[in-house]
Amino acid sequence: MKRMKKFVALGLVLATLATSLTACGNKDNVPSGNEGQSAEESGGTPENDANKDDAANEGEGDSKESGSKEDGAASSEGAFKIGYNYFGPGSYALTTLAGNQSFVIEAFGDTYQDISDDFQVDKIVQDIENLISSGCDGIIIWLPADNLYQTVIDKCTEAKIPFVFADKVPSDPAIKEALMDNEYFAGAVGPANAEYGSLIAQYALDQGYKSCIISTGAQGDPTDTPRIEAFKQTFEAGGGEVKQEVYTDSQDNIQPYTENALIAYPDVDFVYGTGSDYGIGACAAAKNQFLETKVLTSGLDSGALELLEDGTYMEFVNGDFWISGTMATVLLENYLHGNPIKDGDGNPVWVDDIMPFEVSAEQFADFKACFVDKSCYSVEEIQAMNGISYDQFMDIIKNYSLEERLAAGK
Amino acid sequence: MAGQTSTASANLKKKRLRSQILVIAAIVLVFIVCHFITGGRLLRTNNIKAILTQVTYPLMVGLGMMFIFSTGMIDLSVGAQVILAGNVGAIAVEILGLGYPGLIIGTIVVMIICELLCTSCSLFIGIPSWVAGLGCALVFEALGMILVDSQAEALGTAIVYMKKCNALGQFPVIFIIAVIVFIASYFIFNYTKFGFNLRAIGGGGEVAEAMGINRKKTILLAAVIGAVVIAIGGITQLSYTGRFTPTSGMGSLSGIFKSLAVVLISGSFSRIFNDAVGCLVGSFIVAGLFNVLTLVGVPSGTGQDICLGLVVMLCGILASLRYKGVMK
Amino acid sequence: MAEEMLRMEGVSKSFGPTKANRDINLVLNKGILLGLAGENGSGKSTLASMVCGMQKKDSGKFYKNGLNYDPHSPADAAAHGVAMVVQELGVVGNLPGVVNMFLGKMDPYTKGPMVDLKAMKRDAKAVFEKWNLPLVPLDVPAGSLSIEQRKIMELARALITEPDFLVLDEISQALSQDNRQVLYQFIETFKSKGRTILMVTHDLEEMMEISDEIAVLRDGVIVESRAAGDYTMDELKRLMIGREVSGDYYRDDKEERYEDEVVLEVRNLTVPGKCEDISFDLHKGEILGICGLSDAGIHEVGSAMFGLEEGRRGSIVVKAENKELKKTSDLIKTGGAYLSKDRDAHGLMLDAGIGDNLIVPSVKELSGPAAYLSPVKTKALAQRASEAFEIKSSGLGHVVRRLSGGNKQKVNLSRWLVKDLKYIILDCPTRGVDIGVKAYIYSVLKKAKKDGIGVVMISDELQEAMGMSDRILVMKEHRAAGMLSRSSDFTEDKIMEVML
Repeated sequence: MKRMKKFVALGLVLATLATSLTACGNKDNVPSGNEGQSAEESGGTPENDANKDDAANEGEGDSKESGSKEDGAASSEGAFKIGYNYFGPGSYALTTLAGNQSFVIEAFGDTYQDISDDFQVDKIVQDIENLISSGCDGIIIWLPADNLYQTVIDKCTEAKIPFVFADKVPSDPAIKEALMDNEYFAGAVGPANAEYGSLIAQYALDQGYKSCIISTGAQGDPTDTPRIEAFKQTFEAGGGEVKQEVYTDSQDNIQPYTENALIAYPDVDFVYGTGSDYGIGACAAAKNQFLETKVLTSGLDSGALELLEDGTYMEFVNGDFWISGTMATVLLENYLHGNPIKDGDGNPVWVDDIMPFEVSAEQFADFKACFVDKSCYSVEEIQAMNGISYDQFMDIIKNYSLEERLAAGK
Repeated sequence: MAGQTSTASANLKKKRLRSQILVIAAIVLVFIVCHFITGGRLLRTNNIKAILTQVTYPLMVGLGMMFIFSTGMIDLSVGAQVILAGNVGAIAVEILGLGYPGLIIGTIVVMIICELLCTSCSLFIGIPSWVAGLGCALVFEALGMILVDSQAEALGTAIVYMKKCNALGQFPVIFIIAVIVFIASYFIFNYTKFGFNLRAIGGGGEVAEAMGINRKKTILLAAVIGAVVIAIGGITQLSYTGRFTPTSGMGSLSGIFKSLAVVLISGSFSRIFNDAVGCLVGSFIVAGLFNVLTLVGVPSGTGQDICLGLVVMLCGILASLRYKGVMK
Repeated sequence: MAEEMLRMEGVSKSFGPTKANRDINLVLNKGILLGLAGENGSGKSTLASMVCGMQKKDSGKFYKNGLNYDPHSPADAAAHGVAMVVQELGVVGNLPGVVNMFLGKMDPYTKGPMVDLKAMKRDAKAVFEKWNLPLVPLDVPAGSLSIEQRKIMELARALITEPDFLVLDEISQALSQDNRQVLYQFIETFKSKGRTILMVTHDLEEMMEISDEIAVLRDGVIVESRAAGDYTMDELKRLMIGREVSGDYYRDDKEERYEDEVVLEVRNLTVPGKCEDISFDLHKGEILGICGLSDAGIHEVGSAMFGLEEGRRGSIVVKAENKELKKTSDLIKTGGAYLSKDRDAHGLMLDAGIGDNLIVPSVKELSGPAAYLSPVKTKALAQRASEAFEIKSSGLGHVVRRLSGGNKQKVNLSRWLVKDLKYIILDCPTRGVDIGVKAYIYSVLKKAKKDGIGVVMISDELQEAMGMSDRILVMKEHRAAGMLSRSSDFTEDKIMEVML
């Protein structure tokens, strides 16, 4: 009996261990032919690409054959392995951002390896190092801390790995200037983060709203902080008053914490949720307290949009659907495929003002069909971005809007 | 000596009762004072409802932990387990359309399996329980993410929102459930053979075994009962907030930090209240504290956490005041 | 012919290479008390625990009432009418006394899912009444009871199952004079019902007095077993130790001898409800005994002097420095030391090694720059203490919990005595130690006295107090009832007269 128990116990440990290994492994859809290929081997610079092409033409069977790439079409086999970090799971915004990046990589016929930062900014440098070590040919970096940019730039440069910044871009002009001369820097694309807040504040003022509660994540969150600052600046300048800022350590506490704030200030005109999770939680909190408080939020989550369609609490939702991830990946793919996108002065792309758009309740069905149910850019559209020029790229960004996408979708 | 003994025992009981009344009176007094500080908002009907709702989750998870921790098993994977189990319940409702039976059975069964797995790792292999707990937490967190990730496409969101079956999270249903769970836990812990056995194991495993108590069976049973209590807490919380967000890197610990605070406060008051009542008092302190601090505008995330830490320590200090140790 | 209760045939038990018991053959008849004598580590407790089902024997057989008896657990032993009060067990501190008494035996009190606590309490009280044991508080957590109360409760717990065979391991050492008398009366009653007791005690006088038969264990082997009256004290000691123990181990002088210089001046020491208005002077080179019945407050005087009791009033002044002792650190700073009666709970770090335990009181003296503790220095000190006190262990890393009672006490005492002390407060210094260790501790105290150290020795054993003290402070009902001198007043009758 005792022996039996020991066997059962051993089985339990093995099961746990096996599950751990499965669970802890990063999502990596690299074909076996790519495994073990070092960064140096794969290169990533245009020169290296040329070498690869030569090798392919010589019929050596290298899995990174790029003959088809020169035609601007995606290879059926993953030729490049692209790595990217994401802050952590469970957030619609972060998941969509990561999903957009994966979509582009796959559309280009390449493979990707992602790595979670477990919501720790300090872990990002380590994660980038790990991506470099695992043989990624290019890296998409999401980094919300200005002081760490130089470190990751140095890591990638020393390893000769091309990289782009997605969603977050350095604010230090010196870093930007240095990056312009970095041969491995493929570009940076980020949203006009502060505009999210100021647009919502402006909308609230237009409605005649005078007071509000802000519901947001942990204090100092790199995404939410500029939104809150811009919101407060605009709203308070227009005569509005922020009664309370509710910071929530765990997403599961959004509703109870917001409910407490609504009890304290039941007469506020609206709650501003800096992300869709906070907006949805605020709607539930208002419902629980039998209040008619309106909710305005940034984040095109389908949950938030369904509440918008319902119309009882959610009144305004805006966002850009995190296409900075899409466009930054396009930059990196072009770079790897031998087309580094640069302006007339030879500078890589630097975009930090993708503007959010509003989705109204009436537009919900179309938005869902075009953005949620499928990618807002089709595979063909993405593939067509292979080999584009700087001006073409900037036009895509400039033209990006809900209406433009809906029209393209039709 | 018999006379002296009964007098000493009666005196001790009286002192304990006096302390209990004092603590409860102090809490009530603090609430009344806070009522005025918050401009009369604290004891408004809607706020009392909110507090009574917010008491439920830390209370039930705290009670479940009480069963598990009392045997000496310090299992810190509870947070990860409840996230995984809750998401299974939510998927049973939202994707599989199994309604309340799916929610209840799915959550409870998964919670029991997880807790038994974790307890078994410690019990049969001899890994210290906190090590087994931390290891299992990472596994359960990962499983939670994998599970939710696999459903994300179908749902169009990164988490599973449970939009149906919310009746268990509505006041007063949620509070009534918590009261029933508390009463059941109180009686199991204090008035049943199993309750005494598990406390005996926690208090002195060798003595308990020598007295003929089956240690492993009792610990496993405590794990099952604890898991059921926590799962009920998870179900009501899921019905209330509609979500359990999967997390990684031990982020699940933050989801149960209020419940841990409840257990800590209960431990601080162990000389005054028995553990179950200590959990009840602790959950009111925790929920009330966060509510009051929000009402008076103390920033959440920083100021409120500082206050909670101070309150936990204060409870420990107050409960230890004038403690004389060995009685004669 | 006497009827046989328990027979042991060829019983052996090993722990790794250590043979704790070898080929034990012993017969215990009905209605007797067999005393098991032996030094610490001789295998007494191992043998007792095998009889109780706490440990399994490697080989050999037990027969109880003529039937094969092979208990696989204490509960199984209880089902066969064997109960125990043993050293290693105790109580579950977080549970009330009444629950402790019925742990593992609650089935008859279970009504549905609930347990009938009232019925349990009623039956528990009935056990105390039936055997004339002093009732202890049953409603409060057992951890809050004194050691003495806990031991009495353990005895009552053992009697709940109505055993016909009882194992008592070191029970009397925890009891004061009056409760020892209660125990002896209980033993007589128990035996008179044709039941049997196997008793382990280090108090040889007690063993000689109350045992019907005595078996002597040495190095795991029974070296002698016969009627108690057939032994002389010296013979018993020789059999236990394996060599001649010459003379008495107490002091052989009859005069109080100490210097006039006062080391410690205690005035009006009061802890409400525990000790009242205690005053005395402790002189250089004096051993001052403190005696009294249970609840007289003798142990509280020690803990109050050390600063452990809340609400203490009065003054304790170290005369040489004219410094008043207000907190525990003051005692250590002024060259004092204190040994609690409950060495496991209040003395030793049970799960640490011997070496770590030995150096703890001397850490300050051993600290170098930046509080650096040199491993060479600390090891040297621990080694010196270990060798000086002949601590039997596998080395300085040996975990204290795994030491015998006597060796634990050696660790407890030696770590203080390697320091340059001026005075020391000892609460029951020979509790739970065998004759060899006892003799050794007394020799250490004699040396300390010779070196001019003032010793306060609180003791439950009158013989010990009379044997070692220059003066004895006798306490009654928490107050000083008299101060007796070695030269004139040291008779048992006189001391008992003051006590009562």
